[in-house]
Amino acid sequence: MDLEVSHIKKSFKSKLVLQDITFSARKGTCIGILGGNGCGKTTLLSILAGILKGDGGSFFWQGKNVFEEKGMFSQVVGYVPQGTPLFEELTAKDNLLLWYNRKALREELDDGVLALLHINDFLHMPVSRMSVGMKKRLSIGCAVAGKQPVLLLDEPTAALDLECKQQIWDYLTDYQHRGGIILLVTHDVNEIEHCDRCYLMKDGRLEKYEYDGDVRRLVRRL
Amino acid sequence: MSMTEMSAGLLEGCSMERARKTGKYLELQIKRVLRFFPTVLLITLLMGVAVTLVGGQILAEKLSGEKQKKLAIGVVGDTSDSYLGIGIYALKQLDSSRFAMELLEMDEAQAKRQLLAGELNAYLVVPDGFVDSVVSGENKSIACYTGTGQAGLGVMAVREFAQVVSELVVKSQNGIYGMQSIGREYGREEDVYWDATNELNLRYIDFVLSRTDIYELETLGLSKGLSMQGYYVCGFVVLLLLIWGVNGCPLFVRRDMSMANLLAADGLGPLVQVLCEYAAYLLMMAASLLCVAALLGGVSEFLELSIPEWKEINFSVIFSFAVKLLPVTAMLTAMALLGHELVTDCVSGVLLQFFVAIVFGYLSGCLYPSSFFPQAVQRIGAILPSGVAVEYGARCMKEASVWGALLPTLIYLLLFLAGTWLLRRRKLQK
Repeated sequence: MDLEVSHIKKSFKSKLVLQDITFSARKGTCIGILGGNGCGKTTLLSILAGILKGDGGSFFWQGKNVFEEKGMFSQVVGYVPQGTPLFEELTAKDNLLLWYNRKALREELDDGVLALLHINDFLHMPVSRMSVGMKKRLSIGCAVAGKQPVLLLDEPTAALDLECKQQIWDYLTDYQHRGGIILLVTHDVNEIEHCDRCYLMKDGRLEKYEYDGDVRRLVRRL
Repeated sequence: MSMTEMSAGLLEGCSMERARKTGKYLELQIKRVLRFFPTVLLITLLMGVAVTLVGGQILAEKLSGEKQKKLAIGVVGDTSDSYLGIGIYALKQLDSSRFAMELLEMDEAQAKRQLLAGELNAYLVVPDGFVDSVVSGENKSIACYTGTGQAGLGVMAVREFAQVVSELVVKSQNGIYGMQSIGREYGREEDVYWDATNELNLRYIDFVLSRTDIYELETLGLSKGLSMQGYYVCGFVVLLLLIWGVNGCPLFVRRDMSMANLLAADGLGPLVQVLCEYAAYLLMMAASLLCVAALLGGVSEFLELSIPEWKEINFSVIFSFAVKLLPVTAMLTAMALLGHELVTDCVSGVLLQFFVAIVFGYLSGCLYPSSFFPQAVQRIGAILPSGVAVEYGARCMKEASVWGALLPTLIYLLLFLAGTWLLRRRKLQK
């Protein structure tokens, strides 16, 4: 396996949020995680992105412990959080320049990730004037600047219109085909259909789940 | 090239990449500030103009008040006696107290009405038969009435004045009448003791009028050895710098920590983040101060400004004073940044900055000279960052050594930055 996450635990004061999170994935896999509000999905992504420290467990990428080797997080993991990790006063280009050098930015805009995300359409627009969809595409563009092999997405298409959703999924499909691993947290059952595997998060644990199109059954399980 | 190979290559250049990212983060922070600067400058100039106008008005009132304001004292009762008349005439026309107080003769009802209306500071009631009581050896004291709303030095001065008048008149008249009765007892002619009476009167008047010769009054300044104008200029500049903390709210108050989180995960920890943001913020504050100084310097020739500490007021004097205040600007910028880190939305940020500016400014004497406050308040005001800033500004204005004030300024600067760093670290760990 290329990605191995095992026995991750996390508690806030006396509240145990993650009990024993274990899963693994090969390159080119898309994993979906479903769960109720506050069940710990974002906490799990934050730990895997290196933002939060877990109370235990390990995260291996091709045999290397990401938790222990310095600088590994930013090389292995790209993270698109729920919020907007962008400077509102600056343009899309300015924001991208924090993560890309000028040469790489030009290349990606011409024929790369940023072209796939249609960033050129609003490259010189200040973030404060962008739509939610533009902001989300820009956030993804920033997150994958290091060509990280693992992409963590926290509800990436929430509140987006159909066209924008499609553009994002076109890019994610391409990313997956190029060998990237996607870990997707979502409340949208339509997005589960894009995933190779699906987990339900309940009581701080992951349970494997086969989505058969029955939303009522899914809700009962949650 | 596969993603894994690219990742391996990237790992090697990790620290260089982090340095590049730090530089880029600083550059972007400066860019944010520059984008926002026209708005900031507009707000800054508006606040500057407002504070200058208010400050100028207060200063003008204080200065004209010093020159023109007299204690208005009503005199009520029987003043027909020649001795009493001479005394009042002397006080009104000859005595140096005429520059500090004005005696107005009126009836009690009018005096009461004017006192309640705030037109009089006090009124004195000369009791009926005052002169006769003095002749007969009694002492019917002159009563002094003041309003309940009046307090402080003015009232004390009026009470003291009433006592002095009462004492002086009684004692001098006792002396004169005593001399007259001795003259009569020994069968002296009236014209003999009239001459002696006149001489004694003149001598008493001379004693009273020349009493100011026994001391010399020297004014050392309003506070911190500065003139009133110098003091208020320092106070208002510090107040302005405190209020400018409001300008940073749209840029540095964070509701969404996702950018900070991502940067931290990418190796740009809380210390680097805070330092980069602080550098950009300081640039904004310093630029604002220098712009206002340049503007004031440019129009100084058209303003009728007079500050005794400065021989002349021109562009270079005002601009160099602003440059000297940069350490204070650095400290107050760090304080404002700490304030921004404490709140999670812009409205709370603006309120916090404004509240802190007013309270700190007031306690440290930016709005009202601290020397008028009780000792305990003065001590607290002096150790507050705003107090340290006023002290630093005062030293700059007097062209005295700033080292004594620089140390607390730097200590505060470091404490504020450390506080901001700790708060950011705590937020990132949540």
